[in-house]
Amino acid sequence: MKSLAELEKVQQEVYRRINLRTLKGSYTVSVAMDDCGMAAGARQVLLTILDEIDQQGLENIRVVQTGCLGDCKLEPVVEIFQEGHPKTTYIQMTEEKARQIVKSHLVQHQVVEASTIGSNKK
Amino acid sequence: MAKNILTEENFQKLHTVIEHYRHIQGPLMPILNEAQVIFGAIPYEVQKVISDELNIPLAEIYGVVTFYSQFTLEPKGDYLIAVCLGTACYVKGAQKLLDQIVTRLGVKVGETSPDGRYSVEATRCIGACGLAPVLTVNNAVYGRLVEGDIQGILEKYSKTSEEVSA
Amino acid sequence: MSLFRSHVLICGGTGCTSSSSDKIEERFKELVAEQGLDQEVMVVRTGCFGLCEEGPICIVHPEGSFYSRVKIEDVDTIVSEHLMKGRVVTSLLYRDKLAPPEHQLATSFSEVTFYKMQHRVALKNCGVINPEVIEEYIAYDGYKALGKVLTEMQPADVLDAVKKSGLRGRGGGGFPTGIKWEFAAKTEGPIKYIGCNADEGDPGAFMDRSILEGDPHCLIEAMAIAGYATGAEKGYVYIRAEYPIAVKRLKIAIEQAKEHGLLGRNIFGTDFSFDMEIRLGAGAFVCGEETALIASIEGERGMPRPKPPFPAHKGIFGKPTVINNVETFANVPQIILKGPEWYASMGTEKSKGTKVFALGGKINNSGLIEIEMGTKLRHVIEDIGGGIPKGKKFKAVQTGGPSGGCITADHLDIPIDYDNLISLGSMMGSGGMIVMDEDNCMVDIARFFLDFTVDESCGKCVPCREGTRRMLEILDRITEGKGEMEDIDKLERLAKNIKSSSLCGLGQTAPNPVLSTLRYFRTEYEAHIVGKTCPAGVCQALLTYVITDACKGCTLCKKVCPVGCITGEVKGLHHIDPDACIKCGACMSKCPFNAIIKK
Repeated sequence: MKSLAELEKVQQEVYRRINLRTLKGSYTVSVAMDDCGMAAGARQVLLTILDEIDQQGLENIRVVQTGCLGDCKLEPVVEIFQEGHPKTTYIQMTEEKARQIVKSHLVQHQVVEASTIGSNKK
Repeated sequence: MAKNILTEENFQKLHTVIEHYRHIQGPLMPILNEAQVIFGAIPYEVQKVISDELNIPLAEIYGVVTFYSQFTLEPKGDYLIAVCLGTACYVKGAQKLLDQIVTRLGVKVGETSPDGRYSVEATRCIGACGLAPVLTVNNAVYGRLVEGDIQGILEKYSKTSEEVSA
Repeated sequence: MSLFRSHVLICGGTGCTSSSSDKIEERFKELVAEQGLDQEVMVVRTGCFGLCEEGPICIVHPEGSFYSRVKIEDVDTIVSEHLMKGRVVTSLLYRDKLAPPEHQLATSFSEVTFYKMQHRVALKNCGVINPEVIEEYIAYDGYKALGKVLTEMQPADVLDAVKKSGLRGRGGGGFPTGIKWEFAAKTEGPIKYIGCNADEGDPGAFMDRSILEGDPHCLIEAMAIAGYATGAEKGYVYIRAEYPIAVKRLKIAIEQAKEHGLLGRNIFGTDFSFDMEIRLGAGAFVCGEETALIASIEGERGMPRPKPPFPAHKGIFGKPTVINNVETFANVPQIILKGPEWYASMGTEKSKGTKVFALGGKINNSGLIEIEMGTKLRHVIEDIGGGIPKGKKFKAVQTGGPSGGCITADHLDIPIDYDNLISLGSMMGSGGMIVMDEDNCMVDIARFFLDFTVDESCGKCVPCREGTRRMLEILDRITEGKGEMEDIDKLERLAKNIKSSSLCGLGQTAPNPVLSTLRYFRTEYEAHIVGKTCPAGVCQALLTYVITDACKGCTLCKKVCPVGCITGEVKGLHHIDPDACIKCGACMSKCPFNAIIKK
């Protein structure tokens, strides 16, 4: 390490990879996994979300997994929590929708209404 | 001694170690630490080699070896049974465990059985205080012990290592 | 590179390792690979999490699920349920008994009461990073302080910062660290050394071990900073041989630091060079005393030397040396980064910052904690420690190891700091805190500590060599029922002489446990001497084991007795021969009917 700049570069790179151990997070993205979720493709959705967050260079986002949320027809389901705001539940997720939601909800702080559970109630 | 540790191979290793540390300041302790690992003890014959090589009086080396409890003049038994008598373990009854072991094996603390099978020791705190009271037999750790556990543990080691691997 | 979505952190401290946490790590790695998850799930061995009572501990992030007392069989469940399906395995979670009933499942590590009540400064990285990967230390601001010091600060600025922070030696002496560094800085060179005392000999203390096993780089960084501030280019770490895992991790850390140019010549492209060497101890408690430590490094018997000259003027190999404890060093990088005012804002007027304590003995949550100076003892024992197990009554807490004393229930509301503990007849020591309950005999405890110091005495000076031995003989007689009232006077006189005339700290503090127990538990001594009884039921010579008529004749006691002193037929009342009985207690612990009592 010949300079402080080099140290800082390593610091930033590695911190992004391991900060989920200590992060409180401005947003928490919760992906429902479990048998039904996985059968509907939840794992790909999860990995896509992680990839898009990485590409967007976003910091401070916690991505967690949970078990079955109960309504299997709606899988894959992704919930986004932000302190002081009601949670947003996105249903019938696909890899494209996942990328769109990251860009819109997490970067621009705009909920993608069309994909939420609210707009899909019959 | 129950075992022959003064092998040609061991002395070769010792010479390599001496060469490695010869030129640093304060070489004696690092060399003694490694010698204890190589031979399992630092008897007179080993001390003599170190004395000749480093030009340190034998009496001085003997004084250092006998001062530190990790350096021994004779090798330990096949099974080193060490009961931790650190404060946390002591407060949870470790002394009674040690007394029972001494009685059952007929080996006093700090000594080795005549057949070289067991050595019994009371150690200082080994740092596993959350499992108190603790004893180790070689590298196996037994924790959260009560007096009734001792008989079973000792029975596991009632054969020598040769008998077990045969 | 894609981000791992889950990190499984497994405690790799000595306590959990001896409960096979290394095998647990292997099994996780095996199963994660089998399931094809090795690009998504990172399995990491960290340092000690501190809640040793509940080990082995595994935490899955980012959820923060806190799995405790994990067995190898449990790994399969955690992988298939939690890692593959996102279903947290609630049956394996730690039960946070200190939290309100609805929140007792430890689903989030940061919310666990044991940790919420702490302020982890020296332990900041323990349980968070993999100590064998330098990049993880760097990720959490590692070596930033060293960089700042070398590029933005003069040595005098560093000394100033450490002095302003109010940091005092955490090994037990409590000497102001900044002033010690200044002494060395002002002494003529050119060769000077930085020494680290990692000999941690106090039984029941494992603070330094955890820092070395969990975050070895913070020591390297701090010693380099000390070198810059004082004009030293070499550091020696004297570490006890009984800590093999700590030695291994420190060796790896030094290698990695060298590879990355953070140790060696021209660090960060400046003129400053610093190198480090490890020297192993060999099982002598007295080598924790700084002049004995120096003698040991120099290849001699670990015998202390008179002070003055102090090591800061004449130390290792005769050169000016700063010797500090591991925990003292662990605080330095953050003092530099966050500023001395931040550090001084914590604690009391004369004891700044935080302190790591090793809680052990009769306490529910045994393990490692770090709290602000000034915290009340009661909070530590009842709240963080979770109180005394099995509903027993608190009797005393021993601080300061063999150099310290006991604190009774009357003084639990004292704020913890250096001066308060001394006024109570104890001392801070290195941080070992052993809790005792109604079943511990205080005379026996005093004898235990004295036995330790007699064994560890180097033998150089008469008061310690002869005096402590005479005190031990008196205590032996008292615990065997052969004491006399004048023994108490003899103990007090001997103690005074030994304290005032011993050469080093070992002898000067050896009588403390006796004086302290005499001060607060005199009646217990009198019971042993006059009544020839041991009220706590500990001192063997004053007890008899008896089988009552609750005995059902199951013969379990007879089978487990090591001296064959129990007679009896199947289904008949058994009997212990009191002359042959060695009072080991094996029978009492095996009896399923609680038919055996101690009188």
